[in-house]
Amino acid sequence: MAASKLGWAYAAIAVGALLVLTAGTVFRRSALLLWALVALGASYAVWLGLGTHALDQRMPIVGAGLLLTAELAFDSLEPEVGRPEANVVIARSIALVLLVLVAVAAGAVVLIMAAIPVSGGVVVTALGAVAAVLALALVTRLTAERR
Amino acid sequence: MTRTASPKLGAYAGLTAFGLLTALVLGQPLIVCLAAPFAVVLALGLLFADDPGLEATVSIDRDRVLEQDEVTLEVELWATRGVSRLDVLVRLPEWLVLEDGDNPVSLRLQARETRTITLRLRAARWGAYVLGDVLLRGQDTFGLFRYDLALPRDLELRVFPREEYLRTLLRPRETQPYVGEQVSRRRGDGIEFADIRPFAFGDIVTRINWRATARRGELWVNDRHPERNTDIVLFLDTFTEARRGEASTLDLALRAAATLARGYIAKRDRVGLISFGGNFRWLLPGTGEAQLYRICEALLDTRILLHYAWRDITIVPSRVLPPQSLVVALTPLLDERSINALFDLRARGYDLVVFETSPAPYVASGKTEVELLAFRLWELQREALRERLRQGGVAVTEWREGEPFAVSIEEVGAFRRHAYAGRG
Repeated sequence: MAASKLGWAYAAIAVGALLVLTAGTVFRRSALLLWALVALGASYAVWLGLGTHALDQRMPIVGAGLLLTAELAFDSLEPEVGRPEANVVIARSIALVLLVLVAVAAGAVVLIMAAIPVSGGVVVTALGAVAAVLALALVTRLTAERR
Repeated sequence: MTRTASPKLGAYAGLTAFGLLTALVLGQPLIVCLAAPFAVVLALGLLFADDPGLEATVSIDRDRVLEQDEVTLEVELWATRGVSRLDVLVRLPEWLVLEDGDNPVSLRLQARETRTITLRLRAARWGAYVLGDVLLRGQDTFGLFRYDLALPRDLELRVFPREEYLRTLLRPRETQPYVGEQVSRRRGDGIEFADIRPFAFGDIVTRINWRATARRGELWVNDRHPERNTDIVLFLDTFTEARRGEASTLDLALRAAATLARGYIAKRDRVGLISFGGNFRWLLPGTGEAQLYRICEALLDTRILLHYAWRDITIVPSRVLPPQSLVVALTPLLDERSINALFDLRARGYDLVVFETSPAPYVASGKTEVELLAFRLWELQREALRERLRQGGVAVTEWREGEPFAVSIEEVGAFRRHAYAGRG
């Protein structure tokens, strides 16, 4: 019964995310795209939360798919500049393919690391939290510097 | 060059943070799989993003052209580092029409590569244009940053009205005392034979007409018409215009003014200009190439400026309207102030010619019976106005778009010859 309800919740979130994504591309609002991507990720997290797919092998592909969706959605926000040259389109296509491959590789690395049996504990959790905070701080710092 | 972060940068940073924190809070390391691709793109983009060192120059092959001529504009691009996508937008003035080339265009620029964008433009209408307003927007490979460069507008393009072909020019009734190419009605030293008369003290021997002398038994001499210059004042009515699309009565007037100015100055006549309208301006009569350029430049600055104040011919300085000058009015005969000024000029004894740059082709006659009747009444009123001017001894002719100006010149010339003959 609970699984059925979660299934509906998953479906509702996914449909809502797609609607927001459509609205974001139509109205050219990047904030809507962000929330749509968050919702899409959340829907997948809910699906994982059903408990039957705790270690889903397809996760790197889902992550890469999410990235591809984001790239294409943000590309659609770019202003129209007439007909782009062929080499621009080709270069962008190659870049997208490479990005997807890199994303799959990154996801696979995370998946492999997640599969390593490490005995849990406060220390490991603390290390993970510190690593996450440091990663965020690094990203924030780089972003602030480059702006 | 200014660098700004694209919306993607903030979104990816947010997604990465959200994914990592969610994974941490929920204790689900697999959620990191969803955030990891965004983190990788972010890291790579931030590491490799750098100023592309974009430089650009704009040039045009000519800075003075005639109406409907084409001019080539080139944008030369160069970058120290490669730009995966560079959007180039050349902002063009309204009357410069793109004939060939892509604008805007999106291209890829390799490191230390020089690219040239060529645009072929057609000057659809006369005027002074400022070019060079080019906007460049480059993006890094990952699309996280934008590099904007705006080039200053520092190129000037002057488009002169296209001139009409004329075989003859109007002959003024009176000439001025300086040497020119117009045969004066007066008698004196010249080439054109005028009459014979009895010899008078001071006449030179070479002027003696021996045949007449032999026939009459006393000395008779030839009289000749001297060649003199004339003063021409171009009277441009800029109170109002009739326009449809690219064409307007003002365009016709300017084309005629440029044609007449060049024609008369080539004959060493003095030409002046009065722009009688909301923005009242004038040029004193003068001759030579410099004066021609002054007139052309003044014509380029001519604009229709809505103005409600009453103006009459008294505001024109007397030096601008020399006595015995030929005043050539170029007007659509739409504004009461300019019509009154024409009557005033004629009343003051000026030799006046009116070229009506006809507004009729720019006016829709209407569809209903009432509209057609109104249009007909309007045309009758205009014909009555022309007739009033003719009765005052003013030669009036209608010039329409597409018709040769030479035909109008011939019509006016014929009227004036007839008027002189009638006067005896």
